[in-house]
Amino acid sequence: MSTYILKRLSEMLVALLLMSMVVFVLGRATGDPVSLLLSDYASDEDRARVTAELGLDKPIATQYVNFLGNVLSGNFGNSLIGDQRPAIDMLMERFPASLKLAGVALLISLSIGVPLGVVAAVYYGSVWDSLARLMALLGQSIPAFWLGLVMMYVFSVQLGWFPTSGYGQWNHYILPALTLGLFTTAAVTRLIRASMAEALSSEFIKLNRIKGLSEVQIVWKHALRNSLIPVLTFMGTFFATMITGAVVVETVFSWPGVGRLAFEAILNRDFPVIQAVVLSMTALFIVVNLLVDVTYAWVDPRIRLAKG
Amino acid sequence: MSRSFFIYTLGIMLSNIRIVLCVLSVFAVSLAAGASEKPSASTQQATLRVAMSTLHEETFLPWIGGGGRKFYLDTIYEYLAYLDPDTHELLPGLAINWHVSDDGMLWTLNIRRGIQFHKGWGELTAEDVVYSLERLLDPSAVSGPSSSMRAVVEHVRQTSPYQLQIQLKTPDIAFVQGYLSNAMQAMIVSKRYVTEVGDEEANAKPIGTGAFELESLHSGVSIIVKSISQSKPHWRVEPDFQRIAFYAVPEESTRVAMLRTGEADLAPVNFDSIKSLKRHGLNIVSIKNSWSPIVRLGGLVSNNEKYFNGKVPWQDKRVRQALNYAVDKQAILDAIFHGEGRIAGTDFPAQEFFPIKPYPYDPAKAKALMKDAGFEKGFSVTLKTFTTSPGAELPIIGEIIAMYWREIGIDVRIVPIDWISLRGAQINGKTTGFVWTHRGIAFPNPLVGLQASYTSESVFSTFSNDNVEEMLSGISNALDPEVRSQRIREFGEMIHDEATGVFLIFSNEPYGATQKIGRWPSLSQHVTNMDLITKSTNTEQGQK
Repeated sequence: MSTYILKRLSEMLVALLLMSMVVFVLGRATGDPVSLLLSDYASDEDRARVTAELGLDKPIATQYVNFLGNVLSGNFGNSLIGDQRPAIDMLMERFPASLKLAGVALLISLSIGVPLGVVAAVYYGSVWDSLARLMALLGQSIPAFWLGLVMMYVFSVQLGWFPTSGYGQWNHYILPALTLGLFTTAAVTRLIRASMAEALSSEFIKLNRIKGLSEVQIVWKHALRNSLIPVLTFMGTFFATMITGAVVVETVFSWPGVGRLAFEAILNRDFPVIQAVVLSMTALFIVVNLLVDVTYAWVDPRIRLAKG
Repeated sequence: MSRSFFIYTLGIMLSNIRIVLCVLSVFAVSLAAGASEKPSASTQQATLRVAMSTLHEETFLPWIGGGGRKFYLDTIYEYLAYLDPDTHELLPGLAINWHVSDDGMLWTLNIRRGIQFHKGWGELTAEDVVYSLERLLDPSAVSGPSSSMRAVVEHVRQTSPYQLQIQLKTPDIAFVQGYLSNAMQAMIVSKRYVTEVGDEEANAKPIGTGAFELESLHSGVSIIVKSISQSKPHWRVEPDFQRIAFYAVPEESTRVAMLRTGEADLAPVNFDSIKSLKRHGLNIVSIKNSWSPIVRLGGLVSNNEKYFNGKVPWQDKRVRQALNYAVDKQAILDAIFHGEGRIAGTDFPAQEFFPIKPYPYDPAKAKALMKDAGFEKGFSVTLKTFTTSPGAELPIIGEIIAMYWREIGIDVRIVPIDWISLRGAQINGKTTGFVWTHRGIAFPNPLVGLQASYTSESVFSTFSNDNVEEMLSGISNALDPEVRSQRIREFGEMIHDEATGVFLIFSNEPYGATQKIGRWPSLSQHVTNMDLITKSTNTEQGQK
């Protein structure tokens, strides 16, 4: 088991290193933040001075090595914009908002996706199944920015049930969480449907039927429990995806989360903030995946034997 | 099995929903407990709610951040002089009067007496003004005008408790208008406050002399300022609103939705949204002539090798004029800008340039000019487009321009790019072989804009030669305001005749407004004067 964990940890470090290179080089290839910091009419002298102050006059390899050294000591550098706060502080300030939104969205996804998947599996091939599959298909294919705007139009502008955007009150969560959760709802529905269908036709379910257990017990107690394993496996990934991938939803609903911070940082070429967001979110994603895999390997020895 | 199971499933689903609702309720209660209470109707009426695309740096000291913050900083701080938004006359502000020496290089300003800083930080004196200007001039300052001010100002010194002098490096008779007025960023802070508490705290809790003070900042969400006039009237502003709440709403569709639901009273909107907003009973209040879409032509700086390219077809003035005649600006004004603007005859919006007649739409003349120039069969050109703020329309304008130019035989290849990349290319002299959509802005001192685009050494120079430089010196050296204005007008005419770019529209900047909003006297140069927004006289009627 420890060999397996060590192997995964080393893979994680390689992935983070590669990601740091990509974000560092690509970020700088897209333009110079000095032109954004100073006015259009700044003098050459000022431009050169600020470039040197930010260390942007050094060769990119030197900049990268310095950056990596700082990151290893937990310093992602200071934002280039405004009062130049530490990038990591800005990230941590926005992280709770993203975490809360992802939490509500995941809750909604599971609450809708699990029952829908069960219905689809139990009524496999029926009109209920088709409906569930259609909903899953729509959920996975409708773009979030479009869905968000449509929900805003219907539930805020036309019906006046929820605020269009904002942060701080309970009703601010509903529309962005529904929008963010729809994709995952569809994914959960499909996963549950597939694994439930398999479980319902398995030998142990047949045995339960022979033993005279009620259909309700069979479905909800025995089949569902077994079918939840793949969902639980993916739940961590889903959650991490929601936190890291909420740029569009956070922008549409003016949600002050990490996604919007990244969006603003990209617009401003605020390299330290972009790097802090991308690397932290990559690390989060990898760690969550690692935890899921380790748990899985711990539960099922065949996995660690096969991969170890 | 089917029916009972279905009912059971429904039960489970419903119970799940109940569980979700329960969890959400607990969540909601915990959130609501931490959140501020919903404002009452009267509070809402007394609050002006402005949804902006960004709150920019969310910093409050003038020298820590750009001019984009002016819409909220201008409610807290004040300026030495104010431009009248209608007449463009320069009016006294914190400076009660000023005069310039005969050589146009030494300015003396007298400070208004009795102006108090917020929260008992004392009376404003010349010492505060000198400190504020010196902080802006400090090499570490990255505010909008800092760099150009450093190039112009030799030193600032206090001559008495209520008087200061500013020594310039070169004559500038429009110095107060161009650098110290509310069209720029030279806001006045309390020296005692900033030095006693330090930059960090002064930045978090700003102290100014304006009609409002900071009530709260919620990063990425809102900045709320409240009127200080409840106890004592402010010397300059009688606010109609007790509070102004600025919200960060990056998505335009969301801002439009907020206007329609009444969650916002004022918000910048796209030109495309104007009709729909009007249809739903909302108003459009525009900042007039605030920017100008334009096509810039690379390689025309004949007195600087770095920015010159003798091979481009538009080196020939007739080609440049043809590029202007070929475009139907009225169609662009109607279709893209929904009438919000006027056709431009020259580079950027300035009072002196408004009388200059635009190039009419005349494709036949354009073809004739192309033929005279030896380009009867046209040529190929790369047109780079990108968006700016304002300037979300630039890519579509690029498409339209390309369509018109194709009519006179020009093969246009459109290349989307982003503004920062193009600006980097400009700085490095790598824009000499193509043309690009760009936007001019309104300058409080038009000479600043002209120097940026028309002097050979400027990194943003697009057209220059010895004659142009001489004309610019003539403007700079003019010590009589009338003469100066006349020379700027003549320069504008030269820009027009030389067709230094393809001039399109002097565009307004549209804001959607609810019935609550009366008058908003903003300047063309910046989104400002939000403290002067009045309530509509028919607000109550509108509410009913």
